[in-house]
Amino acid sequence: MKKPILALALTLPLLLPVIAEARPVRITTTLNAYGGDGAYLAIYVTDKAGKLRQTIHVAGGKAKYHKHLSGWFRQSGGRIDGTTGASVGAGRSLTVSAEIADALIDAGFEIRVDSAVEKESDVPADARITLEKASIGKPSAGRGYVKSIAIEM
Amino acid sequence: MLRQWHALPGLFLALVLAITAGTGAILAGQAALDSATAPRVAEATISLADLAETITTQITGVEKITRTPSGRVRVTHLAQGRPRSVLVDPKTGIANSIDTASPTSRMITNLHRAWLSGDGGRLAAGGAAAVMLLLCLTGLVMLKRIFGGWSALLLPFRGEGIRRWHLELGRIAVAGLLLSSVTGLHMSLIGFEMLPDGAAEDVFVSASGEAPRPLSTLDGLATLSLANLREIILPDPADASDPIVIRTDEAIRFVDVATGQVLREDRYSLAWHVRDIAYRLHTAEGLLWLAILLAINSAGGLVLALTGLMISLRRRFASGRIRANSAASAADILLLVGSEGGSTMRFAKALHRALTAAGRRVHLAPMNDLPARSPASQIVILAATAGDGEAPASANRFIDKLAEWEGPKPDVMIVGFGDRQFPRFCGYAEQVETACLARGFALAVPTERIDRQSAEAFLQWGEQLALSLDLPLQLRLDDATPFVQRYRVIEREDYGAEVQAPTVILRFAIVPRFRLLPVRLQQSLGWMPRFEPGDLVAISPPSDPRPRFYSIASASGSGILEICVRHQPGGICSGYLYGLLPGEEIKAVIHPNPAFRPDAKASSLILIGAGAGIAPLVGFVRNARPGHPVRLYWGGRDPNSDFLFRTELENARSNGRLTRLRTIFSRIKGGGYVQDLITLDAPELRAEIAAGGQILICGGRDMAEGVRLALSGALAPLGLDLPTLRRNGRLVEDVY
Repeated sequence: MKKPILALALTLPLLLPVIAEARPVRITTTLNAYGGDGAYLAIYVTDKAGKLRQTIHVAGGKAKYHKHLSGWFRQSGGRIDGTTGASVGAGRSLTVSAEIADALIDAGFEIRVDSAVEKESDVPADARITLEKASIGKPSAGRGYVKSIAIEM
Repeated sequence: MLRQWHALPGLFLALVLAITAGTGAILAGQAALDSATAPRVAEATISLADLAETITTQITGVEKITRTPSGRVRVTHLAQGRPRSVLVDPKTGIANSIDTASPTSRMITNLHRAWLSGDGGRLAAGGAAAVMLLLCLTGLVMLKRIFGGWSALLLPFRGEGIRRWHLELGRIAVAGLLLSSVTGLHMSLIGFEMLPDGAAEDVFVSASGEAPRPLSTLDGLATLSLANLREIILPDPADASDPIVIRTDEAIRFVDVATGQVLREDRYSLAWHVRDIAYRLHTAEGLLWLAILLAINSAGGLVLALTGLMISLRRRFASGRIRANSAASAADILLLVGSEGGSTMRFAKALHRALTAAGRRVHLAPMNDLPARSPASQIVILAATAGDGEAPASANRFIDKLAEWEGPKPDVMIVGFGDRQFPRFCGYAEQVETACLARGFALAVPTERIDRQSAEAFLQWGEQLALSLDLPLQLRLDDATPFVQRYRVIEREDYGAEVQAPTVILRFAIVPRFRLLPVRLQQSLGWMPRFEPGDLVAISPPSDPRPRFYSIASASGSGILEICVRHQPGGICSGYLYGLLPGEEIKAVIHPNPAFRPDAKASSLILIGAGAGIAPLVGFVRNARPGHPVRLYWGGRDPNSDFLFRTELENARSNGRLTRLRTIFSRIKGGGYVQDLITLDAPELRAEIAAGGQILICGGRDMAEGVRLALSGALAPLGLDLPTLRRNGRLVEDVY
């Protein structure tokens, strides 16, 4: 009768760190009203040097165009360990949620967005925002199709 | 069967195709405009090293330099935090204009290729291309059947109404539409990854990462010129290992920005070139003449879709149920119709009405529905011909069914419908006649051949039928919607009052249906009447709804309706018309009379008429090809009173348009009638007719009778008789 409780009491501290190791982060990417077809986006986590750690979301259904998201594609080879969705229209915004390991937060990692529009430009690292609590409520501006990127956690 | 395969998908998808073709026409038009206005530069003399250098010194943040298919240089760069595309002068690198597709243009593109939606729309667009291909192929085979051979597709032909538009446009536009649909389908299949797009495996080439040198010094760029450039992608400034990527017409090349070395070069695969050619041919970007051709053909495709829809709808309405149709098992007469376009049905319905009104029980059915037995004592067959003598759609099983007939064999009467311009005129009716005779059916009257739906010829045959059946037949063809048009008198010329033959030449202006729309537009939309000399105009006097027919002297192209009216004593309509003054208006309906027209293949024309019968003959003289011999024989009463069109005819003779003008007058000393001239000129006329001349007669019954007699006499030595000439279209009459 007491054994399961004992077992639970013993294992719970071991489990807790696993649960607490990741937390949900909401990332909102807003596009400029650039007046063109919908943009393909890759949203991913990198270290300061730009090295890919985790793909969060790829927007744009046709895999054969993913190579235009060049910063992300060069490192991932097109492999997506995150969610996918439709391309994002000019002036629209996209919000995605992802579980991000605590180890990546407040540790100098950042979220990057690559963007590409058919017949127009490919903009690697269009927008960047540091993965830290201090970034909450402080959107960061993009340099291409992305107007801004903001995070909540 | 073939027609159904052409019509069914066409019916359902006409609107889809109209939009695909319409947007395609706009896009091709844009491509043509783009090609025509692109500046011409000696591209082979501009090296890519110089090009990249000049552009990057003028413009900051350059990401990509593209040579568009029409030869413009387009630079994509980040300006004030926004990607932007500009067109630059390749010599100076200076931006001339911002290049963004307008929202309308983007919408048209998206409508054309994806119905403004995602993959579902793309699938629909691909489906439209497949349907277009099917329509082109079935349409081509149908065109071949209708024209009677591939080579005949290039010859001119005449026809009527929407069907003519559909056929004429079809044979012009089919080439471009085939190209567009095949390439469109190819692109669609590539889009859905059912065909390889030939893109090379993604390779990442890393550059040395050393400090970049000026672009103008890089060998890897300098060895290429603008002439066969597709695009240059400059390295991401944030990534030192990123090489310059250059795509040319043949290969993709990676160049190290620090050393200028070619790091790697891959030639494109065959599949890439196939895709590229298909894309080029489909969009016609940079190919001015192809773009113009595709724009015209796609616009034709739009009209084809709409006319096809109208033909299809009309056929659906036309094939509605017949009132008071007797069952085959209780009929006196089987009335069978073999029709391709449904137009023969009009004649069948008229005949059905008349026979039913005369008290006979008539079973009207398609030829394919010939029953195996019937108590009927007559079978009447109205058989159209599909092109070169083939069975029309509703008759293709008739001859087999005929073999299954049981019981006593009724008498057969056959009317063939066709067009004398096609090689096997009424060829199918002849096959039916042969088959009937072979199966032991007897012909009650000789088989009649009707050229281009001539109502007159059909009514004449109706008289024969009435005699043969011993029935009083009231055959009346009613046109579904007579096109009533208003005409305003602008001029009248009076003749003949002194010789008791008051005659007037009336010239009317055609009053357009819509006052505010340009007349030319209304003409091209078919809202203005179309007629040629020899066609008839039906006019009803205000007091009497029954129309009288007058032959037309003018062609609608002149904008004038010209007729000649002899005031008959006590005549209601002729009295009404004779009393018209300039400024007054009448209402009238044009009736095409294609049977009474000069045959372009005739070696010469012999025009014979009297009195007001001159009207269409004058029109034929006006239309005659220069150098083509035309003789006119005409009889009046007194040259000083009723010599109609005198000045015009004498001018035509002196300028050679009229080879011979022979007139005779009955009320002057030593005068006579026009048939006297025929007898007098018999040797000359004989020679003309032997050489292939055509005779056209217009005038009253008595005159025509006299002329026929004189002609028979003149032709006797040749062993030719009038019925033979008439059958061959070498003798045509418009007699009233």
